[in-house]
Amino acid sequence: MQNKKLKAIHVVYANWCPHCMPTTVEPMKKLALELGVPCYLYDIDTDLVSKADELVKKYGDWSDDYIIPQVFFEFEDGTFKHVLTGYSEGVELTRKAVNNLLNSELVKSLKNK
Amino acid sequence: MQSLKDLKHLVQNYLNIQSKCYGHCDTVASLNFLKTRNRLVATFSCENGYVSRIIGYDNKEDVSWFKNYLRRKLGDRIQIDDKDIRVATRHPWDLGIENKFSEDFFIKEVYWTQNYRKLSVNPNALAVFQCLKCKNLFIQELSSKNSLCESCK
Repeated sequence: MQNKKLKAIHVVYANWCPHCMPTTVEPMKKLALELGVPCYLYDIDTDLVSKADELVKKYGDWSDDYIIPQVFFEFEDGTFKHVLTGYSEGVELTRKAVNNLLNSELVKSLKNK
Repeated sequence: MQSLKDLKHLVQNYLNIQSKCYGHCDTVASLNFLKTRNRLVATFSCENGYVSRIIGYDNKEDVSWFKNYLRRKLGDRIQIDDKDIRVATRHPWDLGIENKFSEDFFIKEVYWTQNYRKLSVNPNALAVFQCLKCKNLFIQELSSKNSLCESCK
């Protein structure tokens, strides 16, 4: 499904957000470790917000007060792929989406690289 | 491009959840579709009719249409702020439907969240409700206990 090699995982998040911590951030850190790539975390309540905004504006779901978390895969050819945005409907859906992503063909294909 | 029927089926099966009413009461908010021509729009509204969110679903991002729709539906008594409108992309891999759709398929959700923090200052402020009988949206004071629109009372 994915022919390119993963270079890094990027997560835009906030510590106070239950969709982010631990629901998305912890599994993404674990996945990055498993895949042998760095996991870059951008806390929107820190100076990293400008980098977070840039990522979301360029590759993600941008709006004035955008939804967090947002997860991006960076590939070795320099391209980025938006892979997940938190579900405003409820944390339960975000948790399910993270699990779906972890068990997806997309992630499986990255593990085989 | 998905037909509205297919899109509705996906929303019902993969984006449907019961959650706590957002900022109004302790009852459960659930998904309710609105009658809309050629578009799919739904609310999450509680057992008392208070609307936590209105969500537009599409295979493309069309925030302008959604804002215009809200303004048409709610009139000028409810302020639609840009900061209350947010978007999200749902991919086959996070919906868990990779076996049914190609990688480039997606659903765009556009959310309008009724900002309770703004309303909580004044319980007499106007808020959006969904009639428990006809499912149409109507506007009344936030503190009202009425759950039916004028036509259904």
